Formats: sequence, structure tokens, C-alpha cells
Amino acid sequence: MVIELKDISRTFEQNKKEIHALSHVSLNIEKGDIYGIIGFSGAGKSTLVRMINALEKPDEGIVLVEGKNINELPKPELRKLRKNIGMIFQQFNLLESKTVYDNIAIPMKLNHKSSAEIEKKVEELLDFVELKEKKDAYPANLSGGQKQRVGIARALATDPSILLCDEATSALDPKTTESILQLLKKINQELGITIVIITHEMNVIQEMCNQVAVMEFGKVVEQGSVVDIFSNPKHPTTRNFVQSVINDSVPASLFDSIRADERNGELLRLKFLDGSNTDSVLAQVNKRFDVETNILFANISQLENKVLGIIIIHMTGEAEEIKKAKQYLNESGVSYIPYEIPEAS
Amino acid sequence: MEEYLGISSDKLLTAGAETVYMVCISLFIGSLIAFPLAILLYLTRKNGMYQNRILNGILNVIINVIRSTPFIIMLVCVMPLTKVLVGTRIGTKAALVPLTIYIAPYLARLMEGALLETKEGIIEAAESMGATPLQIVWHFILPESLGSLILTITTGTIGLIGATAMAGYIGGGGIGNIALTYGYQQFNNRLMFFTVLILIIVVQLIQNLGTWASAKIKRTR
Repeated sequence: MVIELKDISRTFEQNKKEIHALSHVSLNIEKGDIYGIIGFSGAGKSTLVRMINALEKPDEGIVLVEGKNINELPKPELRKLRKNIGMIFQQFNLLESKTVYDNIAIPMKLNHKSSAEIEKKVEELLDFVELKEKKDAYPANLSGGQKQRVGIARALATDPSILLCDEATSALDPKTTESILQLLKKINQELGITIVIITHEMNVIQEMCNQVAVMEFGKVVEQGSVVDIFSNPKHPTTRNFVQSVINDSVPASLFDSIRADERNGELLRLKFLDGSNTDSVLAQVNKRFDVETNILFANISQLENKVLGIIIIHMTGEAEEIKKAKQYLNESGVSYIPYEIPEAS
Repeated sequence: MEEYLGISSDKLLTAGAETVYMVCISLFIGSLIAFPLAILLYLTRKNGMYQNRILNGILNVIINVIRSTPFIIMLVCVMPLTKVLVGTRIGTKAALVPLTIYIAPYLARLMEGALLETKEGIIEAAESMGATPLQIVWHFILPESLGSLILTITTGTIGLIGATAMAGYIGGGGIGNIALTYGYQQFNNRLMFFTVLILIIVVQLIQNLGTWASAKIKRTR
């Protein structure tokens, strides 16, 4: 376990009012994880990520980073540990008065590295983040995506084993976000760096993470592997987030026609994971049983290296036949839950 | 020229040199005092890296007391100290002491403001890199506020030029003194307006230079 947060609470006082930024939060992050923490603004996720490098201290609870209780370390030890934890920010936080080169060089200057060493490393990093031609530019002349690349290069300058991303893509347009996410993936895969990502965008989680924690009002309401959370979200907030990328709401007009359909039928939400072959299973259902399946919604998405398919069908036929068909679905490894028709508005 | 202004150009040049001398020396010494003071104010302030209410409070009171004393009063008040420091109570050299005492807290306050302009996020980034407080000041806050610091020095210089006019009261000389004694008091309006014009031009030049240098360093276009 690289990072362990045990029962963390943190209360702020603002205008004489107590704000529970975090209450009893526990997380375990393994080496090599890309761990996503998602929540709306004010959910406490920024405070939470700052616990990991002790920019924030908990009122209660323990933060272990690589087995060390970070809040009990003497200051020099804490600073040493922080050099092993890179951090990038939504607002980039680059020095406006320094060139790209000098910005990336700063963490090494703090460590009193020789200028030859610094030059070699900065060149290497510029290459890695594909920003060689901007070496002598000032941040004011860079685009948002380029600034974040500088931020990433700076965070990697001390060869950390953990990288914290605080809304790193929230100030960027979708295309730039995509390229920064690709870069972060590369960092995780090629350098083996554990990444913790704070975001309010579920597509970031979908694209990047293997683990996710959903936060609301200072609490973690749901956590687990991304595949599990996406295929079977339990908490309403989690469902909202999942729906923001896999919008499985069926148009109201379709429900009208289903309500008008006088045959016996059921709505089912099917979930296919990897191996199960979507097409053939449904084809077999139609062939083997005296039912009709009508697809209302279908979505296929890639998560980690798995394929998740969500299909909502309207199955009509005799109750007995439907029961048999459902049995067959179970046997074929397709899980399903009933899908409720909302009341007519 | 001499006929036109009713004063020898030698006198005018000497006065110019006196003003430059007084401004430069007191600005230099004043900045040397102000800069560490500003850093101390910055570090000891509430939520600062070395928060210290007592030290911060004492510094604030001293600065406010000096800043609220009118310069003409201070010229006289610090005379005993001037005597100890430079050996005389009058003359250009003697004017350096009150000028320095006048400008140091003023600059300290302005510089503190410049340091405070550094974005919170920059300091947070510095902390996340494991920088020591001194490194944060040296590698992050100073480069980021250098442009604003130059503007504060510019403002300080211009303030000093104004103050040197009063230094004539203790025999400090300078352009302002010429305007007062040879111009105003001898009803030589032509000379008075001429010297004021020179001061206006000099102040303009200094301000433009400061603004240009600051923008150049800030790199925000």
C-alpha cells in the first residue's frame, strides 16, 4: 500500500460556522494505481488530496505514505518525503517570471543539483512532455495545455513515485484534456508512478482510472474498481456521475409507446462485461424463446482494459417465456436488473 | 541662461547634484533597511510562514508612527540623532538621516504589499516541492514579485524627490531648495517654474523607466 488514509476528519471554521470538509474518510491506494476521486465542488476532494502531502493536516485520523505517518515526521523528513510526491494544479501555478526551462529546473535547484545535471534532466523532461521548442518561452505565451505540460515536467523533476493531480484538466478544453490524460497515462505506464486524480468530470475517471472514490459533503459515498462502479453504481450521486458519461436515460416518447403496448412485457437493463457476446446472446434469446426484444438503449464503453456494454431492452411475450429467457441470460453470463418505467408525466 | 533665470548655472548644477546625492544615498540605505523589514512583515503576518503576532504588531506600530509624522517635523526631531551619525545637524549630508528614516518604513510597507501579490498557489506549489521557507522566499516569492518591487522603488524615489525639497530647511540644498529660496521667496517666478518643470520631467522619466522595467520583468503580456 503506497497511500493509506485512515478515518480522516477535518473541520474548517468559516464565518464562525463549522464546515466539515472531511468526515471519517478512509482510502487505500496501491502502487501503480490511477486512483480517481470524484465529487462536485465543495465535496472535500481538494482537502483530501492535500492530506497526502500534508499541505493539509487532519484533525483526526492517520495518513500513511509509504508506511510513514506523514504528520508525525520532523520537518526536514517531511520535505524529503514531499520531493517524492509530485503535484500538479488546475491553475498550473507556474512562475510567470521564469522561462519554461527555469520553471522545470526549480525543484532540482532546491535540491542543489549541479547545472549540468539540471540541464540534462530538463532536456529529458521537455522531450517527455513534447515541449522542446518552448524551452525559452514564458508561461504567459503558452496555451493552457502547454502550461500543464510544464507543470507535469516540473512535478516529475525529482523522480517522484506518486503524482497528485488537483483538477489538472478542469481548466482545459476537451481536446487538450484528452492529450493531458494521455500524457498522465504514459507517466503511469512507463514510469510506474502512482497517480491520484481529483476531478468533477466522470469522463476523466472513465478514461484514466482503475479505482475510484465518489465524494459528497466530505464523505466517501462509494468506492471500488472503476468497472464495478460503472457497471453497478449504487449511490444516487454515483449514478448521476455515471450517467454523465453513459447516459442511459430512455427518451420519454419511447416510454409512451411502451405504455401503449398491450402485450405482456418487461424492461430489463442488461450488463455485458468482456467475454459475453452481446449480439449472439440477444439473437439466441429471440430464436430460442417466444419473445420479442426491442432495444431502447445501448452503450459500449472501454474501462481499464475491459469492455462494458449496457443495453436496455423491452422484452415482450408470455410471462413463462420471459422467465425462461431471463434464465438463459443468467446462464450466458449476462447480468440484468429490472428497469422501471417512470410514471407518465 | 543666467540672465534669463537670474541664477548662475553653476548653482543650478550644484543643486541638481545635491538632489541626486540625497535621493540616491537615502534610497539605497532606505531600501537596505526596508527590504528585510518587508520580508519580516510578510513572514510574521497572520497565517504567514512564521506567524508571530507580537513581532508583527511591534513592526506595524513603528512603521505607522514614523509614516504619520510629517517630514518637516521629523527633520527637526531627528537632529540629535543626525549629529551622532554624521557629526553635523545641517547640510546635505545631515539631510540623509531624516530622508532615510522617512523613506525606509514607507518602502517597507510598499514592498510588503508587493510580496503579498504572490499567488497562494505558487506558495502551495513550492511547499509541495519540499522547499524550506527561505527557499520559498528566495526562489518563488522574490522572482514573482520583483516586477512589483521595482514599482515600489519607483514610487519611493519619487516620494524622496518631493521630500528633498524640504531638506532645504536644514541646509540640505537641492533643486527644490532653489525653487523655494531663489524662486518663490525672491519673486523670481520664471526660476520657480523652470525648476518645477525640471522636477516634473525627472519624475516622468523615473516613472516611465520604472514602469518599463517592471513590465519587462513581470513577463505578463
